[in-house]
Amino acid sequence: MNPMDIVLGFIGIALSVMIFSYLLGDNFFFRVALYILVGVSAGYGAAVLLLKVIIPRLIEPLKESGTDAFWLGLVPLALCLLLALMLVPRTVRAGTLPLSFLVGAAAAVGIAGISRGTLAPQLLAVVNRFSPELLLENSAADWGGIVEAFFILFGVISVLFYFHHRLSRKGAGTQRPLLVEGISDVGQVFLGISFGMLFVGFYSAALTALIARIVWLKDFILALLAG
Amino acid sequence: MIQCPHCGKDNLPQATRCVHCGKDLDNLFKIEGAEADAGLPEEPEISVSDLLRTFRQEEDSQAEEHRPAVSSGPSAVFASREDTPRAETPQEEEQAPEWLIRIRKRAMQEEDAAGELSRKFNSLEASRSQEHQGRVDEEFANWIARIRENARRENLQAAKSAQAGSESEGGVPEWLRRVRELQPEGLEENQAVQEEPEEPRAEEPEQEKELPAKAEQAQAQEAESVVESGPEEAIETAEPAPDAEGAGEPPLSGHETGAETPPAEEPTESPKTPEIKPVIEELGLASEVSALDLEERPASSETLSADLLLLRKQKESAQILMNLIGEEGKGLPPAKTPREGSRGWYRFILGAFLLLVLIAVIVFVPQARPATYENPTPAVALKDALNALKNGDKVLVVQEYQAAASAEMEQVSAPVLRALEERGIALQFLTTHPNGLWLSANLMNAAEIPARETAYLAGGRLGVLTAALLADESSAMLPEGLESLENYQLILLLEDSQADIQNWIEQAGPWLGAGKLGVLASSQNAALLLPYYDAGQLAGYTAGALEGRVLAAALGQTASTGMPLRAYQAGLLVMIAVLLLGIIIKAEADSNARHQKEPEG
Repeated sequence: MNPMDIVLGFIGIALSVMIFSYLLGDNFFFRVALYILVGVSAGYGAAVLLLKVIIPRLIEPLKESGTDAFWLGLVPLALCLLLALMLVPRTVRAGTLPLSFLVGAAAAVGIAGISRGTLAPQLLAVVNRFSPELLLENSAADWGGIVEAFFILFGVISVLFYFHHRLSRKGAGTQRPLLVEGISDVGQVFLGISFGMLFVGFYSAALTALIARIVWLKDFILALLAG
Repeated sequence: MIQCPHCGKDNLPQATRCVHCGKDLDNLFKIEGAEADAGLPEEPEISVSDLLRTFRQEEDSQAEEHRPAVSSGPSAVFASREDTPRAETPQEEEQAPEWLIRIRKRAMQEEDAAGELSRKFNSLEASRSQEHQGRVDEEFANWIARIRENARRENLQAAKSAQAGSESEGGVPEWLRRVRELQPEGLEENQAVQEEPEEPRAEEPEQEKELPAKAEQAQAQEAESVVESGPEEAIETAEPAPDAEGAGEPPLSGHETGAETPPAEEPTESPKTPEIKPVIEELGLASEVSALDLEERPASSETLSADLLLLRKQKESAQILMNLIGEEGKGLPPAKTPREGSRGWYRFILGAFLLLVLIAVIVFVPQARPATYENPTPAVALKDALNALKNGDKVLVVQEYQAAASAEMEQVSAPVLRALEERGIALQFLTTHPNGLWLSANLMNAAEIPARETAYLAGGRLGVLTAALLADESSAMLPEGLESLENYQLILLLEDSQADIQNWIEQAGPWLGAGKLGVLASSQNAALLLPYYDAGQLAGYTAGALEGRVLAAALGQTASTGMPLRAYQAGLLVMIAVLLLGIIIKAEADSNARHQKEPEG
């Protein structure tokens, strides 16, 4: 191991122990490690944005005066200047133009993407489960497919019932029919299973990271002892 | 007509200012001998008392019609004014104005004008009965008391208006200042409660009950002090000390500042009292004024009581408002059940236990051979999509995971990238996260493939949509080296975030067609990817290190040994044990709570 690896290894051990100290509660060492992480990430991100975005896409076009890129480059420059005016209290309102442009464009793109990329395809996937081509296998009924299709449909409906019932119960406080209550409870079970899967996934990912860190520590110490 | 001494022109005898030159003519009306009287006290407010004094002395000495002039006293005014013309020299008489000479002549002719006036008053006074005399004295005393009370109130209001600027800066409203002035003790206790929000809130209702009672008590004490020590002390004690007010502290009551406040037997005097007192003594009205003090106390206390009564009606509302103001910005009150102080130790014990188990397994337990494991359908589908690629096909590797997930992601991704590289498939790296630039270099190193530049796509979902829609490869909107997304046979997403996966599926997926997106994800995204695969939006996916091992084996690669399988299993077992323990403890707690409620029912 070269000296730089040893130094970096000790820094890594120190930072790992500082993060592990959160087991004792929020403390100074944990916060220091967190601030280092956030600060280094922010600084690195700013440098990347400067080198990969601002200089090639904003500064370079402005050097070519008279070209299309130059005129197009004036638009983001003006928006940037308006955004920078938000630093001055008297001209805060000038920054609303680029901000509204950004928020509006992002919202429009997001809604269009969700409707076209998630809602429509998955609703069609539920409906297509009942298509005759899928439910028939060699001109006979595919009972497994039929049960699975009904199960998926029931899951979707019961979860929708649960959310609708929860909102209406918050608002009116009226007692719902027994059938609606039952379907809503089933929807809650579906949601519980989904959240359980999410929890297992998160725990599994965190456990993998923790094991990888312990293995790295073990390897570093063994390498250090081996010289 | 009189002549102006400045311009010499004629003016009317009543004129005080010259109509020609505009200068004052006051010196023309100067009464001879007025300089001699300048040293006399000229107190317009004591003119009535002067008159009364004069009348009494005149009554006592009716036999003496012409009294010699005395050095002081109101009668001296008359005496001096009677005697002054007689004492004037002929030269002065010649210099006197015409109207004054006429007046003097008339006075000489009417024998004794002042004496006539005195006689008329004396005869009027003599005709009054003893009852009449008492009523006059009483009215006079009340009149003096009202003047003094008004003067004190004006002083109080002036002091308050002078302090209004600094108090408004402190954010203390007018009504609150008045409450503080009149209820200093209750407010001090209230402030003490507000300054100790960490105290258990279970005691608050008791304090809230006690506060009005204490405020009532303080008010009663204040009213007693008003009756005992007179209105001067009451007003002075109610008046906020400027220093204390400026420091944001409530003023202390007269009882609390006993060293500074005179006792009740020695009422403090208002600032105007020293000015009036010598004059009253000079007039011989000291005994009447002392009687007046005794008489004016009830009147002033009645006025103050009305003020207190008004505040008492507003006291509850003010108290509620003060509590609300004090609670502002402090957030919701804590739960009634006290927080267990040992909870942090439970967390430490569980965390330390998990760490010890993992360390022990990693250090002491030998590596286990991975069991034969069949991948789920999405992983098999991804393997088929990868195997369908031919030599020379282009694959875009989108690297979007964070450093924390790099260990797991490298285990999943490295064998796949190595297999694609060995088959001659052109790999191009792209990232939308700044961290991806150096993490992709680590990934190439772990996959043992030649390093290449990673393109950075800025703009988040807008950038992804732009990349999906733009067919022009020379566009400045796309990073250098990146081709149109349609030119890639497969876009392999290396993800640890649901948002990033959805971003590509929603923004780029609809424009790329089915089967172009494959995902290698961390295990936390397995449940989220299934609906997309089921809807036909993904060519396939593999989530987690375990599925990654099987996929690597299916592609003919050696799985990474970065993660000991035994440690992973031990970690899962610890979490299962903790969950079971939590379920049992919760069930036990619920059962105990149910048993405690049953006897009460």
